[in-house]
Amino acid sequence: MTSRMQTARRVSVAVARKDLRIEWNSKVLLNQVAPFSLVIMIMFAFALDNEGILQRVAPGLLWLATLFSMLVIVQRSFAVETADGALDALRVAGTEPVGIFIGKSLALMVQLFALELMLLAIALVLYTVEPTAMGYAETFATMAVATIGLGFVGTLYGGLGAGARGRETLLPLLLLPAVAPVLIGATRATEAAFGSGGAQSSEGWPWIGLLAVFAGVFGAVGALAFGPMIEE
Amino acid sequence: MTTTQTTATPATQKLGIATTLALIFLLFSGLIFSAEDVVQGSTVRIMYVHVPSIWVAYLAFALTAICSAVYLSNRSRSLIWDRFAGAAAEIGVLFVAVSLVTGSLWGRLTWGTFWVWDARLTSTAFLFITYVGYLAVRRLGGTFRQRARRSAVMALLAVLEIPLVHFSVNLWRTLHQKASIADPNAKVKLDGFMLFTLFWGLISFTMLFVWLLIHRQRLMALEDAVQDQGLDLAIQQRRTEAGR
Amino acid sequence: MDLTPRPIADAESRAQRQRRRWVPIVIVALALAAGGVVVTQFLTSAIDYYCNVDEVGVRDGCVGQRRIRVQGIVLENSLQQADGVTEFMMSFNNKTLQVRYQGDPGGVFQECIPVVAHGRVVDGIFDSDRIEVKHTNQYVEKNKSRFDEATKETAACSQSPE
Repeated sequence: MTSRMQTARRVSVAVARKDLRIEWNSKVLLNQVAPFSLVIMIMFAFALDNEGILQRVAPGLLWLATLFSMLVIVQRSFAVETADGALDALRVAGTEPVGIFIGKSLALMVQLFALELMLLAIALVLYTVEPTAMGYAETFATMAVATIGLGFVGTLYGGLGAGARGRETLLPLLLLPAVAPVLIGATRATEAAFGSGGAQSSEGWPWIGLLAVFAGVFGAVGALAFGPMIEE
Repeated sequence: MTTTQTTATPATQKLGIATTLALIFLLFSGLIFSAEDVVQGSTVRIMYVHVPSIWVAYLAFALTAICSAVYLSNRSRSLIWDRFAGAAAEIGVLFVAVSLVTGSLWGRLTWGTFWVWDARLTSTAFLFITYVGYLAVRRLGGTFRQRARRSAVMALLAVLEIPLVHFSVNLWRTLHQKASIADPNAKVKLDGFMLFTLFWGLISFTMLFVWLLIHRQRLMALEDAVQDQGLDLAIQQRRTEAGR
Repeated sequence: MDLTPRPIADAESRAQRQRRRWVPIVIVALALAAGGVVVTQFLTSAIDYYCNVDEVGVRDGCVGQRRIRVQGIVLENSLQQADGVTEFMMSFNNKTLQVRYQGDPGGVFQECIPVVAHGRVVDGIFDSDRIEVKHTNQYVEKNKSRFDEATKETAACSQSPE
């Protein structure tokens, strides 16, 4: 059992490094996803440029932009795997599926977190949000916990749709309902952190607890189900 | 195979007739025989569709989960369980939609608004999109076994939302009222004939559900068979091509 | 990375495999239980749709200048409508609050029933821009009998919402 866990850990680190190296070399995140999310943020501002509205809804927009960008990243993460039958090769080689799941999740989390930091910076500038020091701590906690959950769900559903016909159009339909709790929880927590609409920062922590539970559930479900899902 | 093949059997035909009669009686009972409400007036009649609809949806999603669990735990992995799960989920999504639409019409007339984001309505909307996602998973393609396994895992997770939806009105303060009959404090809060009509609605909608479910399952079996035959045919054609 | 196929570990006993199957299920169950606790214990006030009248300025999330939703029963004989402005007293748990509302409240708005008003407290008056009727879970037949009607009339305002 322990040897299996060690193998899984080795595999996960290798897969995560592989994914991040592909990303580092191709710079898709930097050249396509980041500009895409910047455009989304600006479009939101165009649509909602009304006194006070933008500030009040900034947390929701921040997370919506994250989710939309996440769709692109997940798409990309599994396009890399299915393009040359790489996923099949890993499977046939007897690679521990839990390791693949965790590795791909880790890579996704790193990319998402980087993206969220950028979106936060954009929100601070474009939406004139001014959190306190406590607010910043809460925002980063929210981002960390939410990102873990998003990474697990994204990988699970990305793997589910990998190789299917019409994957590009199906992924949003699969993924967005699954991440709805993250959108709700992360938005409420960030509202508390930003003080949007008079929310107090103490109101955010229970929501972060909910996000942690979400991450735990999908981490366990993913570890359990990812193998059978990509099999056959 | 004849062109007049149908998914009906004598038993389902009888069930269909009984369901139709029950629904016709519900129509009269709900629209004519039952009285208006003191506060709501005739709007109260929406309840006789709204409540049975969400009941059928709960029943359908619970059945989806049960069939999925049986599929996963059974060694034979019979696809009939998967088809029942899928058929039930489709009907469930339909009835959640009916419940949402009738509910928002009632809300407009009674609350003064079509929709609010309280815990009950939000969780019901969430239930709805989750099962729309479930149906999308079933349409991902691949083999029938892949479809069955993927969707079974998802069904077992999604069914956990039902207690959240049902007890949301007790866990939190919501604009939506609490249950009047399925209330833990068990004090019936409907006048006599209203209660009868509501029960009649529950019974007749359940019959409708069973009838739809059996037909949909049979239809799915036929769809799967057609897909299999298409595959066999394609293989046959390739073989003859190769043989030439 | 070494991708050569690994031999299947025969040493792994059936019991171990059985246990491995259960471990994630147990983890999922625990996580779900934790979720239940978080949702029901810590998130109640955050998910509650409204504050009651007696909690305005007292309960967490019902204080300050922020927009809130307040629930209470429209007091008998307090309803005044003129020039599109509706004013009434709203009460819950022996506390009352004066509400001023622009426009016509929709639904079955009337005296003696619970309503939810959206708005802010300004100088002790609740300045509302949206009103929703909160219907109770009681359904009473109209014209049941004259006697019932009479008792209902007197009892109407004493019915308590949950």
